[in-house]
Amino acid sequence: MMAILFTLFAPIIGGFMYGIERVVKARMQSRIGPPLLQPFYDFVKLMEKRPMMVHSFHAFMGIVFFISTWFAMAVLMLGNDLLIAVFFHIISILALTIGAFSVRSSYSIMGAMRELIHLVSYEPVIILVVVAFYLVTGSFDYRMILSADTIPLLKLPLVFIALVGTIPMLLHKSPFDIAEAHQEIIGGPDIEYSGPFYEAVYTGRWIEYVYVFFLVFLFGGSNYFVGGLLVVFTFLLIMAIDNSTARLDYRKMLKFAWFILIPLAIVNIFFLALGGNS
Amino acid sequence: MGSKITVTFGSQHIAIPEPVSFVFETENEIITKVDVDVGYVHRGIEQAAVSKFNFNNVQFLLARVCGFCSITHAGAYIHGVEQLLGVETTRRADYLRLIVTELDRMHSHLLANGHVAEVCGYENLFMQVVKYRENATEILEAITGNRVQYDYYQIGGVSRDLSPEHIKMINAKLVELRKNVLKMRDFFETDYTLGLKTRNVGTITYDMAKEYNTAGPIARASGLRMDARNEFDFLPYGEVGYVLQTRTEGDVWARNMVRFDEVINSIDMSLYAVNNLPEGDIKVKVKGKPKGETFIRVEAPRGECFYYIKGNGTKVMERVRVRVPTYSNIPVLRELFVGSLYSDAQPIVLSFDPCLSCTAR
Amino acid sequence: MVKMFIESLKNLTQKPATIGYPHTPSPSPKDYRGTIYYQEDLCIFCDLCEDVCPPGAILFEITNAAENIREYSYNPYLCIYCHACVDVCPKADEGCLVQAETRLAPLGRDSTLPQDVKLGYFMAKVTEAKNLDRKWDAFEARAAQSRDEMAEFKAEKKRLKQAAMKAKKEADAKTKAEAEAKEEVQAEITIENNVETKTETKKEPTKIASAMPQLLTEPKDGKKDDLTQIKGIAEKIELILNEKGIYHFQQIALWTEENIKWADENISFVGRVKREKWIEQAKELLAKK
Repeated sequence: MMAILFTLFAPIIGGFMYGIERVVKARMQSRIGPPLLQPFYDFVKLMEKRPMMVHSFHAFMGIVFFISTWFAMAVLMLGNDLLIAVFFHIISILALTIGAFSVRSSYSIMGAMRELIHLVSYEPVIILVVVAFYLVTGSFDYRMILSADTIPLLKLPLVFIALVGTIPMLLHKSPFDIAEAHQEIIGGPDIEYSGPFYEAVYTGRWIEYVYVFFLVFLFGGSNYFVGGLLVVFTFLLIMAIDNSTARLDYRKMLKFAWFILIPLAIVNIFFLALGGNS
Repeated sequence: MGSKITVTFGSQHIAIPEPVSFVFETENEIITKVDVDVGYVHRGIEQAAVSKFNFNNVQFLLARVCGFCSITHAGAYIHGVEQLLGVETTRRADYLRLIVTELDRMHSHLLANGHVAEVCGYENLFMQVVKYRENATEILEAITGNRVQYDYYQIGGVSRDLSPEHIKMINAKLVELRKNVLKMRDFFETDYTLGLKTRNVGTITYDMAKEYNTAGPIARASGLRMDARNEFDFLPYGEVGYVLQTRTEGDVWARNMVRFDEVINSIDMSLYAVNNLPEGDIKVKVKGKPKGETFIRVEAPRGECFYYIKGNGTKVMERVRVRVPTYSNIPVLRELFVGSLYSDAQPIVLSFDPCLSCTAR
Repeated sequence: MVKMFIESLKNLTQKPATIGYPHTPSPSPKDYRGTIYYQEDLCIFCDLCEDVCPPGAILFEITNAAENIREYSYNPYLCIYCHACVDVCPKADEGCLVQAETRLAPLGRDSTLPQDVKLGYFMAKVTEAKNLDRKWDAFEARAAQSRDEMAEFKAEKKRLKQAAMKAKKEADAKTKAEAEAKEEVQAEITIENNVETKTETKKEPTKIASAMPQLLTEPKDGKKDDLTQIKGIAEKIELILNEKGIYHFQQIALWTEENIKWADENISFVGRVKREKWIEQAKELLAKK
């Protein structure tokens, strides 16, 4: 029951997280920032706009992105494999990129390419995280992970670091906001959406927040307090990093992911596997 | 990503504040071809200056050529008219003019640097720079009565005087600004991620700078020792401790550093001028109508600003020609893109601090 | 990177530098250059402020030419707040023109206009904010017209004075025939007036009639020349010319100065006929044919 409610309210929780993020970010920049409910005000305003689309397939792909992200959340929450949820998340990103490729705007196409490079960068790490959870708890089900008697963080410190390293890529935060790159390609894949269709993409992004921070929460295991603490800590860390770095090139991001983050996670899993055998 | 993508950057783009159009042909996001188009904002200011306005009103018009170097435009014109009329301004007026001109340079340079940080995706640094820049604009607002359009220069002097409270306030704020600018310079100088975006990006060598006839901080960042403030004595720069700032790297980073160095030098000059203000009137009476022709070169924040004015003894000038610094910086800008990444194009453009509505007028 | 990280966390604990603008008003600085206020009873109507105002936001309308009564009008939405008028005002120290430290709120589509006598007659008369700029344009035209009327009135006065002087002189010269001379002078004045009014009424129609070139309802022999051969005439202009009744090179070649003026006025390309030498070209083309 909790799981269904959580899934249903995922966009709202995500919206709140986004609102908090905007306020925290503003405070870090010594600004007052928008009100907490600003994402929802935006939501209402965007819904009032005239529905304009480039072509129907493009608009459809925006909605597919929203639905499949939500579906990935549902798969995660309703006790299926974590791996399957991860793959549904990949499908949602692919829908977004296919939509972005289908229009002629060069910003959109460049954004789609960059989005794919994002996917290549962070997705292996996420899969390794899931694999690591399996090694620790013996299950792909989040309920088993959350009821495990150990705290996974203690056994997976390097995997956790690798996950924290990928969060800026997943959520398009500086230094890895390359696919969004506001000053270069003006939002990338999102640029051609408007009105209610942009709303779908926008809300899809909120669900990604929930999805990512739920993965962080899992590192607390059965100790929910540690999990909550981890989420808050990671959130603040990501915000502070976002506010203290310039945007990097996509080549640097790919190198960072493949030569630092993935080896980190693999080393951790390697030692874990060795320890488990002996 | 094999095929070529044509990306338009401008004439309206989120990263460029003014209308200029670049069309890049990119391959794997590396620029292979570039096309520049300037001139979206023709406002007919030169024509208006010689038809609609009397010679003693033109400075108000020319101040509105640009929001950032408004004081330099008005100043250049007024220096010219004073030359034609043979007016000798008082020392106090010269000092006051210098203070306002340098304050204008400070806030313009700070915003330019903040803008570079912003297009590098470093939003926070931009916010911090703008936060501290507020000190300079507040002083300007208190002295001249407006934040953007100062209208401070008048033929024969300046429009307002400084009171002792003003001097106290300026001292306090400038000292604070100096401290914060040093801090900001440190951020720009040492930040690793910003360094990746700015160091060795858009490098102009000494020879290139000379050949393409660059001006202002762009030339000085390549080691070219040129500054109109050094050559002409419209304002008493020699007395207040002016130092020519140069760097030799010639990249985006060096341009930022030159700007910061100049801001600090400007703060020192303004502090000296405020505390050693000569006594006297702020304005002398002016009679007659301008006759003859002259040219003025003054240093705007973006580089050297050239004015040619011609009067024929009537109320209306015969010719007012404005050549702004960005105009001479555009040719070299074109050469920098080929071979660099598309994501570096924005810092390169913004490091020139382009003022296109000045250029096209 | 690390320094900024620490700075960001520090900022998190400090008070933000911005203000919640629409809810908390921005601080109003001292000596700000704001709206210009005017006091009529101090004004000496020297018109200096009108002359100096760069955007022309101050205008005096002459409401009564005979007694030289002027009304001050000011458009705060055109003003650039440059302070020039206050500088030039001889009675600024007494408060004739004063620059306030605040500005009026920007003009919205349905915002109410400020009602203040000190803003001058124009703002007092206008009630609706809609199309304020157009109203100001109309007022500007009216003010300019009032100037012309004033000038006319002065010229008329001068002429009457001169006529009276002349009459007096003549009267002095012809002391013998006083009665006759008086009649003559009066007749002279009336004739002069008559002549002027006649020429004025006649002017416009005669001008256009004489300036009209030879026009045809349809091309001669039903075959028109290809006017686009003349450099400067494009297809569109050819259409306009045809509509007006010009089909042949010969017609253009015969144009006089007056005709060119007519073309400038009616085909709306001022100076183009001369600049592009249509007539010469038409003559050449005619010779070739």
